[in-house]
Amino acid sequence: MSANVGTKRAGGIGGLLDRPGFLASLFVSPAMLYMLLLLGVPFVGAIAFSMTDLNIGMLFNTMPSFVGLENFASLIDDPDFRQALRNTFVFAIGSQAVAIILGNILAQVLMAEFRFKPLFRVLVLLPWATPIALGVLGWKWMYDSIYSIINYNLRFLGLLTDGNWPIWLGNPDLAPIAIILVHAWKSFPFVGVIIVAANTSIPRNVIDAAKVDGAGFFRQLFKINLPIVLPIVTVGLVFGTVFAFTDMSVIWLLTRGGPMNVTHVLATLAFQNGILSGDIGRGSAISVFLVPILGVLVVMALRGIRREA
Amino acid sequence: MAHVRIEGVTKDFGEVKALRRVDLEIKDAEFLVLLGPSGCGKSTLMRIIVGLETATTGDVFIDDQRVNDLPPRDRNIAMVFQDYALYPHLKVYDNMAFPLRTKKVPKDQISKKIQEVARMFEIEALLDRKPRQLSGGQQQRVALARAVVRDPVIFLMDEPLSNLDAKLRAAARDELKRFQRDVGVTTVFVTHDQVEALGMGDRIAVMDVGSVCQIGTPEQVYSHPVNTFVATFLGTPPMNLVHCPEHILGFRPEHFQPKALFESGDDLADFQFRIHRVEYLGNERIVYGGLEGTFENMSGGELVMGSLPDSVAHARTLEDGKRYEFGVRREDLRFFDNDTEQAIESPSGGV
Repeated sequence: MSANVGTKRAGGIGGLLDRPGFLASLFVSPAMLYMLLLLGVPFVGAIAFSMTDLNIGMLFNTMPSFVGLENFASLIDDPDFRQALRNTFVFAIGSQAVAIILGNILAQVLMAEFRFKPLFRVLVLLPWATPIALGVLGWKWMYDSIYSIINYNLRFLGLLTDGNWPIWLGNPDLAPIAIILVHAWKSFPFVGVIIVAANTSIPRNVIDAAKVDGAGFFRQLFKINLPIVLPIVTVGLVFGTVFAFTDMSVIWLLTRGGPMNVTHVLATLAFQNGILSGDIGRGSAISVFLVPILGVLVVMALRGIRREA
Repeated sequence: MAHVRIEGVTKDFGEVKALRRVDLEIKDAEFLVLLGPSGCGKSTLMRIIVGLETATTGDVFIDDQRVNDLPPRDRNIAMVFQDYALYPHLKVYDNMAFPLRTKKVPKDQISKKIQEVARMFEIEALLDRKPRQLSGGQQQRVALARAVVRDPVIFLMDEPLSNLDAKLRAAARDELKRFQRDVGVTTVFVTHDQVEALGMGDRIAVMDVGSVCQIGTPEQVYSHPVNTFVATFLGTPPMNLVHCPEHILGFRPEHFQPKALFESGDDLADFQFRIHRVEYLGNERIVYGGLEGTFENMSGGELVMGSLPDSVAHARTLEDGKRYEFGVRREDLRFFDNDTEQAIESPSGGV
């Protein structure tokens, strides 16, 4: 009686499934299909459209013509576009800067011991976990021109004098701040949690060694904690920055890009031009404008992370 | 060069009593080993000496100065950790410079000192590397160098050799001990490895469950253990303990030899020993077996071990299953109280 271990079925579907290459491709194919259809095709499409004069009126009617980089040139001349380009960076960097500060404070709180900590931890992660439209609607009411609870509280605390009632979303100077705050609100829990994780991942012995070597609180923080924690925190910041960079919902739901186009970012401007106004060529140009820059940034960031690893 | 006095120190972590009343004196330039199993409190005691923990009660004196409330950096103690605890993001040079920079030593002096110490430990070539680019042995030397560079008055070492592979360890032991002798710095060395302890310590403090059982030179703790814990913790194979009605009888495997090997004048305790198994270990043979017959009012059957060096020709003739006459010199017998397990003098009644 010989054991039948190791005999393979010669052909047929059984044999095919046994080949590692085939099975792997099979499992990966749904994801590849998704990426291709929902990311790849629109991406290539957008690049293609950005170099045409396609607009909605032409669909099923006329063929668009190739116009090269004309769309891009006209964008650079447009002050609204330049403002939107500036905003894209300012909102992203500004909100992440605020998020780091708030995240650090949060991290300190999360690393301390206190009574309602489990509940607190849930509450703290809510902004990050909340569906964005819901969260923003809440903020919209908080920023409301009449019922703003922020203003009510500020007046209650005596920080707002009579006659001063900030119209957060209607004031061209205040609206960008309002948006940066909402971006920061969404990002800071994640940054805070990452800072906690990074700090606890520093081996205790290294901190002990620093204490024995004579490092006080600040030297420890800046020379030991921060440098070790930074690569990990950077990952969290990348997430937040990408979110702010590509954000459409927060700005659209709060201000629609106004007042007077001061809060537009590339995403919202592209939507307005491309979809609402129907100028697909121009809209595509806006949305792919940053691709080369972002590509370089991503490559640099990945290289930086790989070097640290 | 400093001497340390620990008086009445206890340490509680909430409900857990990590240290129960430790009184210890460490002499100037002494190499003292804190030896004990995991959880005995030796690392806690060390952390209290260096200042990373504060004692619940009791006092720590360094050179007669009470240092309980002094933070680690003011005690001028250097510590070498088990996993070296090198700063992963700094080069070796900066790792060594860190303790000097915290003391605001001027730059050129730092550079000089580092070169000097690097030469001492033969790590000049490694100064530009980061810890992850070093082997275990190299990391250990860097950890030591970082400790030395501060000219501390006390070295604390928390199992610094246990991460090295066995081959390196013996050489590292030798280097470390000779280095300490040359530099003459008071050193407290924590380990659970009793071979290390015996080989390196000027004195050994054997600890168990939060207190020091015995302090003495290696010969003292090995030859005259104060209780069965110390007796079995030191020595491989451990001391044989035979339970008799009146006391516990102890003798070390290397003292348990075939009668034929003793000289005629020796005063021996005789045992009938049936060998179950002979274990050949290259340089020695361990014989496992059972005592038979009656002795000390015991009926026999206790399992004991003997250890014979390979150089003894007679050892090669011993066979499994056979019964032999073995003996132990009476002066090598140890006795322990049945209840307290403390050492007692040779009692009445003989074998």
